[in-house]
Amino acid sequence: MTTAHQKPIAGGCLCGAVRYKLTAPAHDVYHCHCSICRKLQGALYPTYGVVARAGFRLMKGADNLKTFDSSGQVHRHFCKTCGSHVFEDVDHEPGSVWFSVGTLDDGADPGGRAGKERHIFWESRTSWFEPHDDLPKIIEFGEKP
Amino acid sequence: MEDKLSGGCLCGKVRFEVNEPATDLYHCHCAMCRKMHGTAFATYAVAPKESMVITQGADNLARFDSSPGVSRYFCKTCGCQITIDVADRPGDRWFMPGILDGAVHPGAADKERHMYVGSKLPWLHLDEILPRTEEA
Repeated sequence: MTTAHQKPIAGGCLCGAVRYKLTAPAHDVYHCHCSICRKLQGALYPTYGVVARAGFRLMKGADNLKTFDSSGQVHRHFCKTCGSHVFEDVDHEPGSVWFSVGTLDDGADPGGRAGKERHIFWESRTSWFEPHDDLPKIIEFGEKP
Repeated sequence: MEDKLSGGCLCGKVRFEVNEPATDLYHCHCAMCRKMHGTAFATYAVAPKESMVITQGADNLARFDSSPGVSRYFCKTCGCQITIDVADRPGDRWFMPGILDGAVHPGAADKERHMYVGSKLPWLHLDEILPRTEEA
C-alpha cells in the first residue's frame, strides 16, 4: 500500500517549465552566505541540498535551462522563462547534485539536515541580518565532513 | 544607509543605483517567492520608483509575470532576480538587498519584518526578534 509520505519529493521552478524529482534524501544542507550565491539568486543567503546524482532526476524542461558558470568549477542551471535557479553541478563533486531547496514543492524537507545543516561562508554574510539559530556557522566550507 | 546604493547581478551585465532610502523592507516566506529565488525565503526592499535606476544592461533583463500585475525582471545571462514592479503600487519598485554592493543596509530598518510566515518552510528556524505577519 502506498502512503503519502512515501511519495518522492518533487520540485521545480516557479513557472513549471522545469521539474525534478528526488528519489533519495539530501546528504548535506548548506545555507551559503558567500557573495557569489547572494548575487546569483538575489537573496541574503541561498539554501542548497546536496543529493547523490542517482537520486536527482530531471523530469521536464532540460531544454529550458540556461547554464551560468559562476566559476570554472561551478555550473548553475536556471529556468530561461522565470529565472529560478534550480540546481548546480560542481566539478569536484561529480557524484552529487546541488539543488535549490526553495524550489521543492510544498516546502518539503530536503532530508539530510540532522547534524549536517549548517551555514557556510559565514564570514561573508550580510552584516545587518542574522538568522539567530543554533546551527553551526563556519568559515568557507570548514572541514569536509 | 549610504547616500546612494549600487548593486547588480553576479555576471555584472545588469547594474543599478538607488538614490533614495528604501521605504519598506521584508523577508517574504510565500511559496511563490521561495520558488522564484530558489531560496528558503526572499528579502525585498521597496523604494520610490524613480529612485531606482538601471544604469547598465536594461536590455539584458528578461521579464516574468509571476501573477497578474507582478512583473519580475532577471538577468538573462546569470539568472539573478533584479527588480519587481507591482501594478497596483505604481509609485514603488522592489529590489533585492542581497545584490547590493558591499552587502550594505538598504534602509527602512524600522520596517523590517517577516511576512507570509503562514507559508514558511516548516523546518526553517525564525527568531522572535523581528515582527512577523501570517500573510502580507
